[in-house]
Amino acid sequence: MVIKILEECEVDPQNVSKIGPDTFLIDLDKRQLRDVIKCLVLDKGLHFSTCLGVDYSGLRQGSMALIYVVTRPSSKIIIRVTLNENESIPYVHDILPAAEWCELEAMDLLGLKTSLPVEDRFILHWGLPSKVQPLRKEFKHNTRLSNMVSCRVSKPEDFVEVDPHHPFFYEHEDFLIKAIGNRIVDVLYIGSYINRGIEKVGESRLKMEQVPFIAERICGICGFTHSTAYCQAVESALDIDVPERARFERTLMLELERLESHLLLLALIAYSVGLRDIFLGLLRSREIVMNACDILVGNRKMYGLNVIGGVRYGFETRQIRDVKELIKKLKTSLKILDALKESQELRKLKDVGVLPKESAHKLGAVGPVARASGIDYDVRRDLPYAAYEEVDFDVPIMDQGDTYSRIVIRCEEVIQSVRIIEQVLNRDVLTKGDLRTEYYPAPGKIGVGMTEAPRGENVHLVITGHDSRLYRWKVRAPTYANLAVLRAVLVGESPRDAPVIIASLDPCLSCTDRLVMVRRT
Amino acid sequence: MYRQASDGEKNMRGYPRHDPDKCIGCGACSNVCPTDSITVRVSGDRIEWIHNVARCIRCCFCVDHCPTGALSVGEEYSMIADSIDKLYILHTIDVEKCPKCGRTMTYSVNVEKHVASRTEKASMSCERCKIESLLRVVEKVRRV
Repeated sequence: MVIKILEECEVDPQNVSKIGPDTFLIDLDKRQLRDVIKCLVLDKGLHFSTCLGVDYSGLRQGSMALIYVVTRPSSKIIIRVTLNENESIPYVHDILPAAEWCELEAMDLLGLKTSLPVEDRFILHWGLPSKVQPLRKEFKHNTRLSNMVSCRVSKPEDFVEVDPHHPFFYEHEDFLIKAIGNRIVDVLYIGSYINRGIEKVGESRLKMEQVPFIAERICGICGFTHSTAYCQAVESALDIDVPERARFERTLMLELERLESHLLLLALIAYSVGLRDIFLGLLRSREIVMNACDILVGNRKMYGLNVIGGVRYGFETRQIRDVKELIKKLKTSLKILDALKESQELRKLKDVGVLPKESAHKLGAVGPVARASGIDYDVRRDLPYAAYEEVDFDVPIMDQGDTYSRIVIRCEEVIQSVRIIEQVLNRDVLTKGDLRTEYYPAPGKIGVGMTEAPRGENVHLVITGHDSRLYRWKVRAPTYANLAVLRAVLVGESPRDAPVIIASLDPCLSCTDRLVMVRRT
Repeated sequence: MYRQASDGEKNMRGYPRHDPDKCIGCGACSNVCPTDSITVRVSGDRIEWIHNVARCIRCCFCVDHCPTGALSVGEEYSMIADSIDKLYILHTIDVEKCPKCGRTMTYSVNVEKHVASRTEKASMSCERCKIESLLRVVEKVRRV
């Protein structure tokens, strides 16, 4: 099926190799890239996930590569374009806006040249000297920048903002909203204030088996989905079979995490539209979920469960019994969601911040944001991982694409999550069986791991290296894709609606900036 | 100083608890620690096991890798302290002396508890003694 689509897009079948049960690797020529991506994504309607630059000089003879990841139901397609050292790179972001951020990031971090007039810094600080190209292999992870040339201190036409943060958002981001009268005409997002180079740390200092714990700390709300995606990427690269018990344990924890994340967001939205009682009720039900996680893994948020090839510890019958009781309690307290959906305050958000289906596809929106606009894509169903093939659930889809449906779709997903958790808790396999499979590292393998995080599709791509280390690790968090729709949803709306529209995208900025603190004493 | 888990939090995965009576100073914990919060080093005739609680992320991966069970999952998890020195846990363990020459070796006295057979006991000597005995064997072979 994939081969047929690729033939229609004029890809030479000799360049296509199957590197996993559902993964295809295509080596493309630089000139062909634009046409192939255009054909696959814009004509055939495949989903564009991400792209990244790789410095291949440690594995092969000195060359660079650009890697694009495109997905369709039941298969992942990795497109690789090999470049010479000083060759100007091809780009597709003028026809496909979804690729804009990742292409600019690849140019910034690797110092790749392009024929487009772009600023030299995108996610790094603009004051850094231009020879700082952190993802090149000759750049050491512990380089002290103060020893290099002194940084530029001022940018000519810059302006200083004293209070960039809106009181609704507690994270490190900057939304510059331009308005004429009562209408937003433009919006600019400035981020990556907290980028500390987790990918570089994972490639240089850490061993493959240590990375899941660091990956879990990328995000404070959806960390487990990151460590699962990382483990899946390595498992697909090294061809490891995960035991059934581990797959069910992962499913259970992933769904508990989705509940936590959605209930927190819905509570905050209720707070922002003025429904204080529902805010408290939702946080109270979230506490039940947190207690269930505490019983199962010994921590409310950081589960520390995943290792490559399986999980670290198994659940006991006693724990499963306690969690079943908590889920029963949760079901009664979730009736408050109906009050949220029916509330007058939320109905006011109908037809506010509309995202049409075509622009959602072009901008690469994922998760509840895309599903509220009518895009029928859910990684759990379309590219099944963990034990999602063996449980029964629905994927709620809505067509309006407005703020109201983005919120309601999360209410529906909460109900589906509870349904999955109940099915998994009734399986006997959760308490008996193997926990993990042994594996042997091999260099130069590519693997993609995808999970449906609470905010959407989460992509980890790894290339394994020597000494059981990673050669390249790319993290594409869902908010990275979803923030591209900001301009589409905000322009034309009233500035007073902006906080709740942005909140309905559920931005998670530490995921987007890939924060982690690993400092030598 | 550190907050103990209350009854309702008995499952809590706190930072690892270290038992100096079982530790052999092999350094497996410091090798696998993702954030480098554990340091094991030999200073003089003692082994220092240092844990920086502020850097620990409570993954307890070290507990999985401890060969003698000296590390276990602790119930203390809060790290509020009034000075930065209290965030470091320092345990010292005596170093085993070489039974032949009496020099200090790189593992602790506790290693004897985990040594079972006579051949293993015989192999417990310092690097220099091992090389010397090997050289003696080589000399004998040469004469023959």
